[in-house]
Amino acid sequence: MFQLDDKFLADIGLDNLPEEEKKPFLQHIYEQLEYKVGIKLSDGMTDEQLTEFEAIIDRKDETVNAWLQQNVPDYHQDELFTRMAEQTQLDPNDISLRADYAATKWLEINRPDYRKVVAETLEELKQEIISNRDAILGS
Amino acid sequence: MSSTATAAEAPQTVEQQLSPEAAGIVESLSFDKIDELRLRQRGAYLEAQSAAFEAGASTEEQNLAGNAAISSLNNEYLDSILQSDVGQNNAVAIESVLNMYSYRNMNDTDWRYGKPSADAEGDAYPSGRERLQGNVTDFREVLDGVEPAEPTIDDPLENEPPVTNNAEKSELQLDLEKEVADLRANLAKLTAKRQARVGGEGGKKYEAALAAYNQKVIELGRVEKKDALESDKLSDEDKRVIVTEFLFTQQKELREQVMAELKGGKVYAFVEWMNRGSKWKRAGKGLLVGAGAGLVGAGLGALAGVAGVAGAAAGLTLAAVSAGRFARAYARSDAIHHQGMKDHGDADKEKAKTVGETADEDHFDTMTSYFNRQLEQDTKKEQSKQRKKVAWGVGGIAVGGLLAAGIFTAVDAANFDGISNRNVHFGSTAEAQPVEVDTDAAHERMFDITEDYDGETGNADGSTTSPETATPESMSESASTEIEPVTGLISNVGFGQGGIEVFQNSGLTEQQWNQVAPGLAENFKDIFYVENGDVRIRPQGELPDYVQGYIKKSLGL
Repeated sequence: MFQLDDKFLADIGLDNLPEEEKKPFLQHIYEQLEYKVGIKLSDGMTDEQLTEFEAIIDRKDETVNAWLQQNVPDYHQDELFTRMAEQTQLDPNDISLRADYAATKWLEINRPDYRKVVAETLEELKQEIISNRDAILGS
Repeated sequence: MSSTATAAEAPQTVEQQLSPEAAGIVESLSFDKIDELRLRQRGAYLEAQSAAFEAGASTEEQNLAGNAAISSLNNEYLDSILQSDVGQNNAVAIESVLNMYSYRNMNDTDWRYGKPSADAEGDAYPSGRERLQGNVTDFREVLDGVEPAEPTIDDPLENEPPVTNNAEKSELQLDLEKEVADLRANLAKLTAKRQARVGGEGGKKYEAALAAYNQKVIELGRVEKKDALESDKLSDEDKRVIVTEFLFTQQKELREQVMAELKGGKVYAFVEWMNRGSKWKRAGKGLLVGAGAGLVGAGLGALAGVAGVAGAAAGLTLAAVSAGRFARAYARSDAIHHQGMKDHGDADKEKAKTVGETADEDHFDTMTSYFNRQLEQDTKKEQSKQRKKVAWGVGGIAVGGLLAAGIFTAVDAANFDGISNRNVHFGSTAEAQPVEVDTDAAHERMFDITEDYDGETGNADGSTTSPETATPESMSESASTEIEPVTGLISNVGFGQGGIEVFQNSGLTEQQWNQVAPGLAENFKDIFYVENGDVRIRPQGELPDYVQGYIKKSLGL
């Protein structure tokens, strides 16, 4: 199990961080994780792929529609989509809902191994923090 | 004017040389005018903030409303200045001054007094009033092409024919200037568009625009600098410097216009907004974006609630969080503020003067190629940053969906106020909750909703345990041994819902929740926790059957 809380800090030997520094530190870890994962996942992707992703997350209606039609034409029947619609209480045709669903699917299609990448990167980051523990506490 | 003129006399002399339009702009940027603008900004800020407060907005939203009111006044004032061509040509500089000295970016003490002496908190710095005066003095020199009034004895180009004002320009030169301006505007748009992409060449349209612009700039230069380039009094070296400085000025204007295009776009406005304020405020804005995007109808507090719900079953947490995460990543990359596209300064100009050794007119081609290469390099740099920015967005989607629940509890909860037992909110004092996010099984739950809460749960070592067979470690022995699993008693825990709401949705009462809540928190610490005296639910979805069994037994149902 992975925890990002006081116990996590204790696990990596940083439970002695001042209270006011804990949250910013955890946020820093999160940001680093995002960035490192993003760089790894996008490595080898073409400009076209990334442009497509950017257009989806930017909620460009035309791109989102085209992508869904091509990749998940029956997305309205997809349980994930249904669940997201229920939870957000958004109209199924709402661009925000469709774009976020499409972004999720896009990642699954373009990098089906992304869960593994996240887990590996997380572990690398954890080890990196542990190896720099003294410097972190010293600073 | 004598070179011994006092500093007090100099500005007045310069002002006399400005065109009426330019003088009007200088007046618009005077201390009195900016002071008056700041006063109005202050009133608008307080009024908007107060209105937001009365509407029940959070502190963050109140500040945003106040800042928006200031921006609105700034824009109105800017529009009034930009009525003239002179204003339009210097729009970026004028806007920069207005922003720098706005009530939003400088408090009244700094504006009027600065910091006269250094102390433990930092170095001394001049007042905004003094700095504005310096900016305006510099600005006078570039307005309308007027050079500083005081002649300098060591000016290497003192023999150059004087710069002409609009009234003295030939019709041909004026036409060329207009054509160059139009072509520059077009090229700036296309360049900005290229720089907003993750890669790729400009294409035929871009190449054509660049060629047309270059050709017309050279034509203009040959007309504008004709007398100097044909002068017998100037050396070849002097003429190369004149050509270089002319093309440098053109390149600088092009770059400024590209940046203005970027600034005018929603991306720039968004990034600027995101990067304003403290780190915590920026983090909060990331969530605001998610809320603003319509991801959660329940608003900011509810979004924070989602963020705190661990083990979310599917979709929503990913969706809500991903937008916020992407937003933050987008702005954090500083892709606009520290972009590959650079404004050209004195160092660039001096460097340019060392390029090429050809004489007079040929130097136009040499330097045009040089500046084209520089522009292309900067465009490539910008595209590279854009690619990293989008990559960060990919990471935001991946990580946000998988880990957001646990981490947000610890990280982002501090941005939000409000505690509710009906909806799961996190207050500003929220500690890092012991939320568990399994990096395998939890992922599956988030993305494969067919495997609901009572499915197998992965462990860190790769093994799996089933909640049906494994009681939580924290559960008391008596509770675990006397409970019969029950399903269907309690409705699924929805987004942002607290215990009372869940119970009411299940046909139970608030009193029954209050009756059973302490026991739930005591016996099922991986599902319930206590915050500020309230018992809260971590996961979304269906409560495990052994928990439902406990509830049924505790309530005597």
